[in-house]
Amino acid sequence: MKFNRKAFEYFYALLIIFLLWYMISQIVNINLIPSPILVIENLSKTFKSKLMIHVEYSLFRILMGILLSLIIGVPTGIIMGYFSKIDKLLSPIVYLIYPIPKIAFLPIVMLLFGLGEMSKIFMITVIVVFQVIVSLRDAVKGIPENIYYSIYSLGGSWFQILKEIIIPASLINILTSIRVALGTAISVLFFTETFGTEYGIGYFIMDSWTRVNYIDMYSGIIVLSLMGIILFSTIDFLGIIFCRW
Amino acid sequence: MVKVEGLTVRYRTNEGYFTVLKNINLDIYDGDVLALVGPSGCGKSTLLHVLSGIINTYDGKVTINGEGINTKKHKIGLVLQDYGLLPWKSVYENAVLGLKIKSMLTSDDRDYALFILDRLGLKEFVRRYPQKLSGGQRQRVAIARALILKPDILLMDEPFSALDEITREEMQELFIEIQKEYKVSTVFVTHSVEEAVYIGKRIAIMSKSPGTIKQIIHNETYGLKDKRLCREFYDLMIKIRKDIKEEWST
Ligand SMILES: Nc1ncnc2c1ncn2[C@@H]1O[C@H](COP(=O)(O)OP(=O)(O)O)[C@@H](O)[C@H]1O
Ligand SMILES: [Mg+2]
Repeated sequence: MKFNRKAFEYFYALLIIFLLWYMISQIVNINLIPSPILVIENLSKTFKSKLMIHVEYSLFRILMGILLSLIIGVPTGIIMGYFSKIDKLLSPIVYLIYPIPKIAFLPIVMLLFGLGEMSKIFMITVIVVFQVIVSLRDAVKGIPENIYYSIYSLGGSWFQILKEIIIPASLINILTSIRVALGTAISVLFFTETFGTEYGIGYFIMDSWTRVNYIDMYSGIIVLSLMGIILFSTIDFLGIIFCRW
Repeated sequence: MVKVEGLTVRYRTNEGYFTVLKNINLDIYDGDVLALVGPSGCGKSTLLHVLSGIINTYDGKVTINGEGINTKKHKIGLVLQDYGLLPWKSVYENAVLGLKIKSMLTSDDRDYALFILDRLGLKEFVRRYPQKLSGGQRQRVAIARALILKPDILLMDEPFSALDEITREEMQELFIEIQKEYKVSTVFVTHSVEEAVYIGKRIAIMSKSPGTIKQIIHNETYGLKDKRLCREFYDLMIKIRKDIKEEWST
């Protein structure tokens, strides 16, 4: 039910956007805004031969970045949320670094980690991890004290408290934080892929642009957007599966 | 037997320490049903939190069968006013939480759990989530969870006060039946004198804050049938009301 409705909503939104795009392309009639029909035609012809490899690179970077952010951010956020002494030590640091535009450090990161995958994944991780930490910390802090009472009186261990209460209570926040993180991660990905690489959708888009091949460029933009939409809806789907209550 | 000797509890607040409970002495015998009645804010919940091991910084001595409270070892069945169910667990998962925390679930445990759930009229709801239950049903799940644990002591914190009157009387009836069957030592907290007299084998009356035990009354009407139609029930209630009239008023 819920799932069908979501699918319908996506379909409906896509239709409207393509319709608008088509109308604008017909009205202005310039190279810079080609008809979506041409772009989709191009995409279906060249996706496998030209774009696939870039998608693979980009997906790898983004998934690694998010995975690393979760591996670091989820435990840190949970510990900060549950143990107020640790929170007092760490949160000033986290809240100071959180709003700094870390993308500005990209040149330094590239000097340190080279131009390869490491620096790109590192950049995504550094930016996303703070969002994960902050949202997990707030989620765990927001769990009402009395939710723990039953398990305290049963003599539950810290691991059991984690498993039965903290993780399920903040699961929806973990998913939301990934969703928020995804938007950021894709922007960062695009930016990092415009330097020192010949693979990745970001590279493909910028390269098409310098080749003045707007049809290719739009194909790249569509693919990047689809990547975002698919990742987003995967998380929605996970939310429906895991948070049935 | 649960023994409370010279229990004093203080909360730390911004202005320093605030004494909630002062020199509480209390014995809860095996098979006892102690109704603990007191005005709101007198420290009833605090006392239950001590007995259930949630609060463990206090003065005085609290023992279960001669040993200090050990939440890992003792089986404490706690039924909270807000039911204390985990919203992400189904009725069945909530009901067996106690056993699951204590040990691995055996198939005997599962059978017993289903038996108790059935006994409390919850069989058809086992797969539902708490948010889709009524208040009375949630309260029954909380009681089922405590009973399934086969607790050394059952602690109930104003378990029926959030229910409407009809449901409350049904639940009181059910509790009395269950109590007859299982004879679990129980501390039943309430702010209602009527409920205390209806349910308790003994009635402990608390003073207003800082909470002390004013008197403990042996309830002669315990076990009477159709109590709400009995004269003795009202006589005792009136007597207690008189005693506390001055004491509780602010
Ligand atoms: N964690 C706490 N910190 C400080 N004061 C508290 C805390 N919990 C309860 N109190 C105070 O202690 C008093 C007794 O509370 P409580 O035991 O909940 O009373 P009751 O259950 O009888 O209504 C109240 O005045 C309450 O405000
Ligand atoms: Mg209370």
